Formats: sequence, C-alpha cells, structure tokens
Amino acid sequence: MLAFEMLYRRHRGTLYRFLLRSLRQRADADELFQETWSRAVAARERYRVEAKFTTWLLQIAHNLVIDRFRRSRPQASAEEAEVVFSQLDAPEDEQPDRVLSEFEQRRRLQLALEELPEEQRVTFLLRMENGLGLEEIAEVTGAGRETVKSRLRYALARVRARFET
Amino acid sequence: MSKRRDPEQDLQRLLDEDGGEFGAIYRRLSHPEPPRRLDRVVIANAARAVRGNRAPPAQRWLLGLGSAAGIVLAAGIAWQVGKQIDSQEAQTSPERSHRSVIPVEPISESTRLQKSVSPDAAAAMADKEMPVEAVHAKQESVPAVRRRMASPPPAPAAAPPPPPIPEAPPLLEQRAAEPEPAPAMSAADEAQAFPEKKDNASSEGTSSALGALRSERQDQAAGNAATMSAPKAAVEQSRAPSPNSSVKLRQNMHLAPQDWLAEIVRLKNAGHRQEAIENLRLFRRMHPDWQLSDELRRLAE
Repeated sequence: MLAFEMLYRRHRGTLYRFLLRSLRQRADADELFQETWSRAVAARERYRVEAKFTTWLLQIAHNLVIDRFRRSRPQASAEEAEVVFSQLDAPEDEQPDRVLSEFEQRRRLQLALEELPEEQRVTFLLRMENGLGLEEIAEVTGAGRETVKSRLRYALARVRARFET
Repeated sequence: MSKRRDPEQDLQRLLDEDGGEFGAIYRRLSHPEPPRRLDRVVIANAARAVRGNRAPPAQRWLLGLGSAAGIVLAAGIAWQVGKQIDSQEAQTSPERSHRSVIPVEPISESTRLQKSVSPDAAAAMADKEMPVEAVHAKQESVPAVRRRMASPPPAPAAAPPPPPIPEAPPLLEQRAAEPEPAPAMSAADEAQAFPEKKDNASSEGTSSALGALRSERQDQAAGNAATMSAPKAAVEQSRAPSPNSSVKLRQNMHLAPQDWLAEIVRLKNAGHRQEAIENLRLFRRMHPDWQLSDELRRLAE
C-alpha cells in the first residue's frame, strides 16, 4: 500500500492535467482520474516490471479518454485539420513569443489545446504534459510512429495558427 | 513577406527536450492538481482492492469463532460419548467377568469315557467347557450347525438370551453323575418320531423348538453321545420350566409321542406332578395337534 501511495504521489499531477486538458471538463477529469487509478490497481497483476509505469498508466487513461470522446461526440475529421495545416503561413516577426504577452500566450495555448481534434490533442498533451517521445506516444495510443508524428504536426500547426490570428 | 514554416522543423523543435517555443509556454500554464477528496477516494479504493484479496477482518473473526465453536462441540460430544461408554462398561463388566468364568467339570470316569467315544463327543465336551461366546464361535464352523442354519430360522421371540452361567455347573455335575446316557436314536427313527408335516403345522414357537431339536438330533445322529453343547442346553433350559428336570425332559423329548405320554402319566401317578406338568407342556409345544386324553388335558390345565 505504501508503494502505491508513492506511485500515486509521483503521477497524480501529470495524470490529472492530462485528463483535464484532454477532456476539458473538470467533472469528467475527476471521474476518469479515479477510474484510471482503479483500473491500474485492478490490473496490477498484469503490469510488467519492464514496462514504464508512466506509459502503462497513461495507456489506461488514454483508453478511457478515447472511450469518453466516442461517447460524447464524433471526432474531428482529418480533412478539417488539413485545412488548418495548409494555412500555416506566418511571418517570422509574428512568432508568438515576440508578439503576445505572457498571459495572452498562455490563454491562446489553452484555447488552442481545447480546439484541437481529440486525437491530436491527446497526442500533443502526451508530448507536452508527460514528456513522452514518439515511440512512447505510439505505445500509449496504439497508433503507429508515423501516425503519431502526423498528429503532432497537425496539432502544432493548429496551435501556431491560434497564435497567429 | 511571410515565410512558410517547415513542419518537420517545428516538430523537431517540439520533440526537443524543452519542447520548443510552445513547450516553454505550456510549462507556464497553470498546474491543476487533483482535489484532496479525490486523493482520499483513490487511495481508499486501492486499499480496499488490496484488502479484497485477503479475507476481511470480520470474516476472519467469524472463521475463528466458528472453528472454536466446532472444537468445543466436538469435545463435548466426545466427552458425552466417553461417559456413556464408561457407564455401559460399568453395567456390562459384571456380566463379562461372570461370563469369563469357565466352569470346570470334575474329571470322572463317565466324562473320560465320553471323551474317548468319538471326536464329536470330545467337541461336545469342549463346548461345555467353553464360555458361551466361544462356543457360539466354534459352532459356526460345525457343518451340522450349517445344516441347522439352512432350516427355517427360529422366531426372534423364541431365541432368548443365554442363560446365566451358574446354572451350568449343577447341570454338568448332574450329567457327570448320571450313568451312561441312553443310546442315540437313529436318524430314521427320529424322522419317524418327528415327522416334517408336524413342523409345517406347528406354531412359530414350536418350529423354533423343533429347529433346536433337529439340530440336536443331527448332532446325535452323527454318533456322538447324548450330550448337548452348553448353548443348546441353555436354549432348551430357557424353554424348560425347571432346570432340575431338564435332563429328563430332554430324554423324554426323544421318546415317541405315545411313550412320552405314557411317561407323563407314570410321573403323575408316581407323585411327580410338577415334572409331569412340565413334560406335558413341552409335549404340547412339540405336538400341538396331538389329541390328549381328558386326564392329561386336565393336568395341562
């Protein structure tokens, strides 16, 4: 029980923020946060020591998030993201760190994250919040490495588009 | 002029350790933490799940209590059973010690002669000297008894418990003091004396008596002396009215019905009224269909 508490203290913040920013609803985040830990405890027998605990925990959380997305609304189409991606033409002097105040930067990033299609948002958050690499994100999401790269590219383009408007 | 960005380069910057320009902004975002109540709920759920694999304390307590109750119950039952066994042993021990007394027959010429008559006679004498249980065990191996077993079994009511052993010594002494027993009847003679049709017509008690008699007759037909084993004698004694006249009664039983009736009349006339009545009672048991004279009927009544 002590080991679990240690793990919990270490991962609770990042997991919670990943869920909160993925779901954008605190109530949903609370619910899935609790559910993620319950499933982790229930599935502890299946946990392989060689696997990274963060990856394993985020796999559980990601699956719950995707299920919630599927139940709540249809996913954004890839074509929609492509349109945003094609509009990525920004002058160098309009880079976000130069133009916007710090508060505005944070606000716009927050808005950009919320507007991202779910798969891209999750992938982006796994990179930004949890610091996962391409392989780890691919492992967590069950997607291929190139798919992960593509999602990250699209997400990055959308975020940048938010900063340039 | 706007410069078109290279997505691969942006991605590479994002995948850098610092997360690039957006990584820096992201780190400045607020860091919401799960509420305390959520921490408590999660940890409590985990603790409950971990404890779920073991037996809950209440169940363990019940298990212990149940085990203790079972042990106490078993001990109580064992104590009660032991107490009952002790009381039964205390009741039966006098009988056992009584039974274990082997009557010793004084060595006399007549017994020596009887022992030298034949092996069967010797076996019969050994029966006399054995305790009742041993005699029963030995009789099981005698083929003559097997034949008796093949005959219709006597009614349970007609099989009284073995008689008390103290009655045996007088019987044996009396028998030892008697002269040579009457020569045994041949099987053919006995078959004539006790026809089978009377067996069928007889009552249940009579059939049991006949069964005993038939076994005795078979033993005698084998050539042994007119001695009976202790259990057989005991069975006969239990049916006979008086142990004093049992030997004579057994002798009279082997007589032809007319001769037996004549003997009864002789006994009555000789003043042995009680003995005559005992003989007559046994006669009526063995020959229930026999028409008695008025004199004998009055005697029986």
